[in-house]
Amino acid sequence: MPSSTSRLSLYTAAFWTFAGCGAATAVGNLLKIAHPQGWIFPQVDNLAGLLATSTLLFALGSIPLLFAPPVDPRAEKKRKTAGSRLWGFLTSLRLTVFLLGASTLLILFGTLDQVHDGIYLTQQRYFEHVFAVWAYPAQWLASAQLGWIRLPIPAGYFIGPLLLLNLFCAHFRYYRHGWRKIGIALIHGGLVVLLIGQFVAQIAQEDNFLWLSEGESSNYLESFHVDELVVIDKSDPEFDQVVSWPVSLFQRRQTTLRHPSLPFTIDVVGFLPNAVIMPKAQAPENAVDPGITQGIGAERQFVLMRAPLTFADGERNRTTAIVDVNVENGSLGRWLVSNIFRQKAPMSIFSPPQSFEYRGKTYEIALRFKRSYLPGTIKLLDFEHDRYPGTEIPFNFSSQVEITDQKSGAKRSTLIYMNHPLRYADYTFYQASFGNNDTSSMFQVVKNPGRWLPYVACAVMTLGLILQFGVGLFRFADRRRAARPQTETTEASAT
Amino acid sequence: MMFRMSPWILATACLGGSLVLSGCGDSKEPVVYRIPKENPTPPPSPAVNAPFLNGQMSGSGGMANQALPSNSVNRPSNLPSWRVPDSWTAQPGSSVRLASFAVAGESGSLDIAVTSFPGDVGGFLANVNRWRGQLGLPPASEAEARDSAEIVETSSGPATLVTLRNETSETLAAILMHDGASWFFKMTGPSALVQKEAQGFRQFVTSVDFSGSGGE
Repeated sequence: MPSSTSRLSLYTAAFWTFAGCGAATAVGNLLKIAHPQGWIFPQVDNLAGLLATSTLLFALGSIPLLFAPPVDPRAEKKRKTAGSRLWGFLTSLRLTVFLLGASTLLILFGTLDQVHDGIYLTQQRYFEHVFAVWAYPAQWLASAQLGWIRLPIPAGYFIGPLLLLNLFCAHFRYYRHGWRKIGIALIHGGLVVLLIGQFVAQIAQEDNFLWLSEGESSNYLESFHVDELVVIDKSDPEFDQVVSWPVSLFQRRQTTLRHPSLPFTIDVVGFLPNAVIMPKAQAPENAVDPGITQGIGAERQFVLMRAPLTFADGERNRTTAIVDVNVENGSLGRWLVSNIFRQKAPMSIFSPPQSFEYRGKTYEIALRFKRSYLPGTIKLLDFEHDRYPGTEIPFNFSSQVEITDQKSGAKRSTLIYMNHPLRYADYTFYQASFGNNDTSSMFQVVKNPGRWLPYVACAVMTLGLILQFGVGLFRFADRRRAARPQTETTEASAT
Repeated sequence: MMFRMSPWILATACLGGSLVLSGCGDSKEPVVYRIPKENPTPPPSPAVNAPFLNGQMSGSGGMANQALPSNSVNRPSNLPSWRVPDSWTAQPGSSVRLASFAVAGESGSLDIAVTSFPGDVGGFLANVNRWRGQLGLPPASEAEARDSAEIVETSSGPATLVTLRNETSETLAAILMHDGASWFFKMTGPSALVQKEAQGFRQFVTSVDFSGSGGE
């Protein structure tokens, strides 16, 4: 039996770390604190497979210990405190190597999964979690025998902060003052800025889209992934007042939504992250009738079926909710709201707004893609889809747009095309798609407050590399120059 | 510059800070704002203010499905093209129909409808039994349903064609899966008229093509 003070190899530590990630994930699932929107524990469909894989990893990592010679603690010259051991760990080059290796594995499994699950789900699963679990794909060889494998992996929120910490600590431990080391400091600093930039993008970036047909204008963007429930007070002749709740508030449990400006409450009694909505007469028997009494759902006698969530590129979940609008002494009915009721693409669907009157005011209720309003209006003047002459191969997509500022009324025209986005009001508009026989254009619109950080990081790292290699080059040249007279003297005396 | 710092403080600060940052996300409180009056108008399409799921593409439809530069993505049209027999008359869209046609005959008239729903809408057997129910027929088993079905090749892949009849009426229906949605093509009416138009219906279904421009 190996001694408890045996030194662990990197190999053992790596396997035990992965096994530990698996054990932690299993505990999170058993305690039911893992859920799809969480960022620590992923939900695992095969806990037994996860525990079996984790046990296998632990066993594999323990193999070297069977052969490692025990270390005599009396031979240690210096007694280490817990703090100094932690410091040694955080500043260790082995930790850096392990984290970089784990990053490579993360990227490998993320790339494999992205083929089937799309970029968005893969990014969430592998890069926006502390732990991730890779499942042996059903499409692979011997999946009937190996389909139980659930490989635990430290994910982005595990590797990133530790790498940052390791870099910081190692820098403060090993850095020696002097102009010759400025290059190293700059390279490390640039890397830190790059990692921080990635964290900022992950937590603060907004991804929106904007579909416009030629001649059409819009003053808002719609989110790719986020939905909102809105109640709009339409009573003012010039303005609409919007109260918006994020879907995340009520997607996991029945919730009552209220706001001081509204004389009623919204009870969300049902929620489907992806639904099939159809008239009762056309629906199969297992469709659910939610008892809608008002609006489109009542008019067309809609019933619902739950559909599996999709994260494939180009697909959108039909987020649907069943809400009761309640007032002090009664109810204003049960409504069906869904983001499918109005959309421009891939199919143009336009349903009339669902509205009601209470105490002399008109209110509209809807569940829709989350909107971000711009300080102006964007109008698509012309979309061009250029092809190589005599072929159908495209070489250019471009959109001529006109921006009108809301306050001043000033207009300006600009061209958005591949690799030439428009930057307006902290948003960047990229040419992303088109349709309707080249008469409609879709822009992917991104807001990232940290978008300039990667540029700064690259500039700082480049400067650091130039300085570091430049200093090294000059020192080498100096040493050669210093050595040459000695060599010449020796040769002269020999002859 | 070199300074000493307690590793515990450093570790706690960095790890805690990064975890706090990682936990930040959308605010869970409602947001209230005012916007200029909005009166959304229907898109400029043939079916103005179209009822739900009677989606009509503005203009003549489809997007090209071509090899594209890496930063552009093509989104496929949901409205296919097809060849409508001369004897069919186009009808106005109704509650959920993407297209509707009629054929008038001595013994009555035929109703031809094109609908589409996401997913498999319960599957082959559920839909066949729904149509059987509309003809007053009892539900069938999977084997019985498959006996009345045949596979036909359309321009966009195989479709399942089903023939159902009672004493007086007959239904010819085809199910085509495309892009995660079920497309239903159904012709119902007096048996004699359905059998007369059966060939035209088959040609209509086999001509369905998602890669071209929009339907007529």
